[in-house]
Amino acid sequence: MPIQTRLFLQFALGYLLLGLVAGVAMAIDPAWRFLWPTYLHVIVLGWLTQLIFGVAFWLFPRASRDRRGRERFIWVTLVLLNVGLVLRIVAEPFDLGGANGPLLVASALCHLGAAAGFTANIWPRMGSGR
Amino acid sequence: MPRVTVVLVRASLVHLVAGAAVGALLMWAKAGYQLPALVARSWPLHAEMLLLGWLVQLALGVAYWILPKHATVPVRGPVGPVMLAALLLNVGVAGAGLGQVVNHAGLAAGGRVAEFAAVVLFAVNAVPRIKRFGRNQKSLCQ
Repeated sequence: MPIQTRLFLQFALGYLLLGLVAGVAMAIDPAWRFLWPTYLHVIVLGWLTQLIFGVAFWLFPRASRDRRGRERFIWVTLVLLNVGLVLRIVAEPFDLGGANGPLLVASALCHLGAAAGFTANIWPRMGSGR
Repeated sequence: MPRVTVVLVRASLVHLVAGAAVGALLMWAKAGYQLPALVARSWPLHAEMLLLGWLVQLALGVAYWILPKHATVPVRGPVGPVMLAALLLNVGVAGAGLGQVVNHAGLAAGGRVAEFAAVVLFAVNAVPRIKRFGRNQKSLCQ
């Protein structure tokens, strides 16, 4: 299993635990319901999408015998996805004065970059047959 | 990797990038930047593209590829229903997402019906392949 996949899966499990903790908090005390949008994105992006990125990078057809496509795009994806999630976890539920808006926009742009990076790695590998 | 899987996975990647772009616009609007009102209420399109267009479509594409094959040709079952499912799913995501954004109940409902029909058509192919690997059946991921 390549190092990028191991990192994706380890981060994914961390976000799953974090999301479930937030879920428990919301279930115990309705005052925590403000976490709902963050909870949703931690589970869907941090856990599910990150897991898919890691496994797809590992198991989809290779571009050549010893290469899994343009690997620099996967490193970019790994960094942007997780930086974006951290920004969102900090800036969405908590009041940071005037910083919330720019940080949330930066978070969304990181996620857009991660989606583009993953696509740039996987797209050319489709149909290569290896 | 079969052709239908390539189509489904590539379409799911398009939805991933487009859905993330819609999400960035939504966040831009949420942060207080001036954007058209239509953008600010486009979250149903964002959700539809990422949950069905990306996640479900990717799962269908990979399932068609890796589920156990039949012993006789066509080894992955008839391809027609799966191609039609891919078409209906993408039309459905667009219809259901845009229909909710522009408040057009008929378009939204039509999109949802198309999504439902897509999954039924996919199941026609997939259900007979959900079985034990047999002696005369080929294995995974070819």
